[in-house]
Amino acid sequence: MNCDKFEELLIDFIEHETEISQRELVKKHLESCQNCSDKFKDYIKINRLFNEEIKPQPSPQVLNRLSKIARDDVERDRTSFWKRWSYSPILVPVLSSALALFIWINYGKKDIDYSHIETNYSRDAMAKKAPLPKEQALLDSGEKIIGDIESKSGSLSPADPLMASPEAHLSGRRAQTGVTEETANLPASEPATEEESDIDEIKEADKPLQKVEEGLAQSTIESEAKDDSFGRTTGMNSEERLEQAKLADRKDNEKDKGAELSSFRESAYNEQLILALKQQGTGNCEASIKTNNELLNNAPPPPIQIKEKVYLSLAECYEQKGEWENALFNYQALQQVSPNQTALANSKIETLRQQINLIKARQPRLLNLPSK
Amino acid sequence: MFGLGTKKELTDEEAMARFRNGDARGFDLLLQRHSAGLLRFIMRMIKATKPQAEDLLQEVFLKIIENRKKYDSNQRFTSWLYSLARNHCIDYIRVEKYRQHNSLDSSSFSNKSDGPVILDIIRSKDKNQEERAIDEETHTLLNQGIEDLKKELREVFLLREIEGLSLKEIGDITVVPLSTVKSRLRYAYRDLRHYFIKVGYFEEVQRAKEV
Repeated sequence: MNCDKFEELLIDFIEHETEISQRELVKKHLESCQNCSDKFKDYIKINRLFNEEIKPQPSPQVLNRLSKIARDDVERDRTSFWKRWSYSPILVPVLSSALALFIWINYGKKDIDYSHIETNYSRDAMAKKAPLPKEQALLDSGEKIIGDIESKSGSLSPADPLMASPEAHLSGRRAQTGVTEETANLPASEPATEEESDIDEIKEADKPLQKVEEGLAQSTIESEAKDDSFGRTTGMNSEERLEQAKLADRKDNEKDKGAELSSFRESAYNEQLILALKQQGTGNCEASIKTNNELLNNAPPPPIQIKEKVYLSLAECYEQKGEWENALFNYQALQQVSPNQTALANSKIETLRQQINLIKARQPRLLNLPSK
Repeated sequence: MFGLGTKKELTDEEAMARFRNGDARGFDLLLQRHSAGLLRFIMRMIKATKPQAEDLLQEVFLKIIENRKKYDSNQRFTSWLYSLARNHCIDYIRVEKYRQHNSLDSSSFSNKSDGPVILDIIRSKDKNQEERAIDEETHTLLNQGIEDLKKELREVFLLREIEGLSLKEIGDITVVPLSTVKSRLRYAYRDLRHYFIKVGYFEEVQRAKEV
């Protein structure tokens, strides 16, 4: 071992970190080399000197201060821990339940608000006219004729799901029965006193024709009445459907706001139509025609169901007045508007044409009257 | 004075773990064990008087209190303690150097006179009863010899020969590999020997022996 290698191993040797084999080598070198031996002795001296030195002691004030700080810190931490503990099991549930209650109450209020908004929303100009539910309105009106006509002609709104299906049922039934009743009632000899004045100008020869015509008018009224009674006898079926429709309506109530609106509008048309029919009923054909024409000329054109009745009413009025061609025109309009009424309209048109032809043949001069 | 002082069986790490978990007596034990060694280390590192060193000592232990929850039981407590102390000393030296550079505008020669000045202070004011037990001259020489060492050599020498930390621990504290620690320790011994020979201490001892 040379001196450089010894120098490297010397520290480990002093620190007692050399391996046993190396330790022997170092010892051998120490014995052989005086220079390294002196160096080693000096290092040992230095080491001993520092180890013998008495450590300076920090002042007790410093130590006490540090100790107190440590205790305070631990204590503070412990307090904050207990604070956290007391907060978590009491305050957290209390606060969360309070929050939940608040939300629940608010939600409840919002529910009320929704209904309020709904009423606000329904404060529409047309909604003000909102009648009682259709059936109720019909029953409460006390105007049986109007009610009958309503049910006969299926005036109820198609947009109203309450009445849509029974209405179709009734009108379909009427279309079926219309023709048979008409033919059955043709020979009916029941005089229509109101119409007599209207057909004064028609000669004696035309009386059978007149009777036919009267029969037609009467048959309409009678068929209406029969339809009505038929509708009521078969009411069980239609009422069941009504119930189903009502259930469906309750579910889709909100969706049908638009439909309701249009039905309100329709009810306004209905009022006008009812007036026209009343006028017709009381024999005031001119006023009825006028009302009907106004109804047809309304800005948003009335729905097909209304139109259908208007044309029928107009046709009947013109028939009463003896204006055959006008009546024919209105029946044609009815035919176009309502496919349900086609059978009735067809038969009427046929009858009227025959009548017109008869009149043409017998009294050519009378033809000018309706054309005026 | 300290509650756990008698419980010698507790290691530093166990005591620190207790303190971390809220037992202040663990801290007292550590304070009792290491305050003196740390104070000496600081005094030698920053070449300062005892009150100055005590200020730094307090800062180091406050840091321990502050960061007690971050303490990892697998880490040697002494490594952590001396690592904190070393960093504080380095910061202190840096600030002090800057302050001296600004205030002492005289010349770079003044640095040379710094050593004796500090030594004088230590000698005159900070010698307590224990220190007086050592030969005054030897004590002065020791201080001077260590102060003359380079900072890197000084810290390794102090940690190893005075505080008795393992070479590996010193490597952790000073953030250098083990081989570097060994070589630095060797250079520290070599320089100190040269110093003692230079100042004639070893020769005098030799002479005294011969006489």
